[in-house]
Amino acid sequence: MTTAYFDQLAGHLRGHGIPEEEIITTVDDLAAYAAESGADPEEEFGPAAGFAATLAPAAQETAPEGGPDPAAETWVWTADAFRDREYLNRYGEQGWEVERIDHLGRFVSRRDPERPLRWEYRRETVLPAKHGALAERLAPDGWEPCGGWMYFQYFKRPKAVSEGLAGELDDAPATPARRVFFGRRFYAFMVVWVLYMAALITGIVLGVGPLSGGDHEFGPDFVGGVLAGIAVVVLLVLITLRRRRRR
Amino acid sequence: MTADRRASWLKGVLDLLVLAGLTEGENYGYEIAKGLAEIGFDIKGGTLYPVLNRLEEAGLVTAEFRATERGPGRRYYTLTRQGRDTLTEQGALWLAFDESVRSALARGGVR
Repeated sequence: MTTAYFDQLAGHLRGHGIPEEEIITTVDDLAAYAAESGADPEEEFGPAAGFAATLAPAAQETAPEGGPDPAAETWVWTADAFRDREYLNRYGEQGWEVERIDHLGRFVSRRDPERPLRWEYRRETVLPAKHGALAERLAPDGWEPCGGWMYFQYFKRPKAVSEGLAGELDDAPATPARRVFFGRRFYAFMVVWVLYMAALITGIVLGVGPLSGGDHEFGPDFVGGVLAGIAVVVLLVLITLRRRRRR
Repeated sequence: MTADRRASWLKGVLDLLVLAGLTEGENYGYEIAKGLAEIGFDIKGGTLYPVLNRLEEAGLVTAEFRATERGPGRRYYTLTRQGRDTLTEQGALWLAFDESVRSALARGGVR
């Protein structure tokens, strides 16, 4: 049982891309622990898959090669902030682990083709100065930071931590062909934002701009200008819609 | 309920307990767990090792594997200077927290 457990653990650590030398010393150390305590390894350390997942991040960073396993599948994708958590958890269930968020705000994800694990995600809104404290607070529950975008910080956790062997994926679906997930709410938000900015700029030009002869303070002239700007933008939208209908 | 509560308290302070246990010198996994058990904290290896890994990752401890002539080798953990500083700083915060809890409980008649 003991040997079988450590063989299994070594296999899972290998699946995480941990160098062989690191695996040998880790397994040796844990076997010494089990021998000295006399405990059943599975009872002491938990299911091998879940335990390997909790050990893997630290060991991977000390790996000489450092880089990701070239055999692993990679998928770079993005979703709007209204539904990103839904998609993260949906694709986490399919074995996709977010490694980082690139400068365009895309999720750079990878999946081990041989032993994919199921992942779960959470997003927190936090000021940059509080990133460390937040990560520290979530770490005892197995949450690991996987990237940030603006004031959003994203955390991942292998499901093996809470579900043991059930956290492994038996049959991974194909890599999604889609890479962009923007929903209706995102487009509606963008339209409102563009209209708002257009109204604001028009307001500034009409209310406190050089044409108005005002004193450039944000007083009644400015408010009047913004209202006039909104009216102009609404008028332009109505004219455009009417033209489209005629066509 | 009591066990759940103890477990969640322990989550917040286990790293400090491990760091405190290393102030007397280097030690290895099982002995660290045994030391904690002696003062009333029974923790499994599956809980201890991820904590040791995180402490190593954060530079608060260093780990060195030493092979033995008989049986498997062991990984020895040593507290770093940064680990000692963190223990002092975070330990003081914990004591302040503990003091506040004690005051609140005393006000509620718990002695």
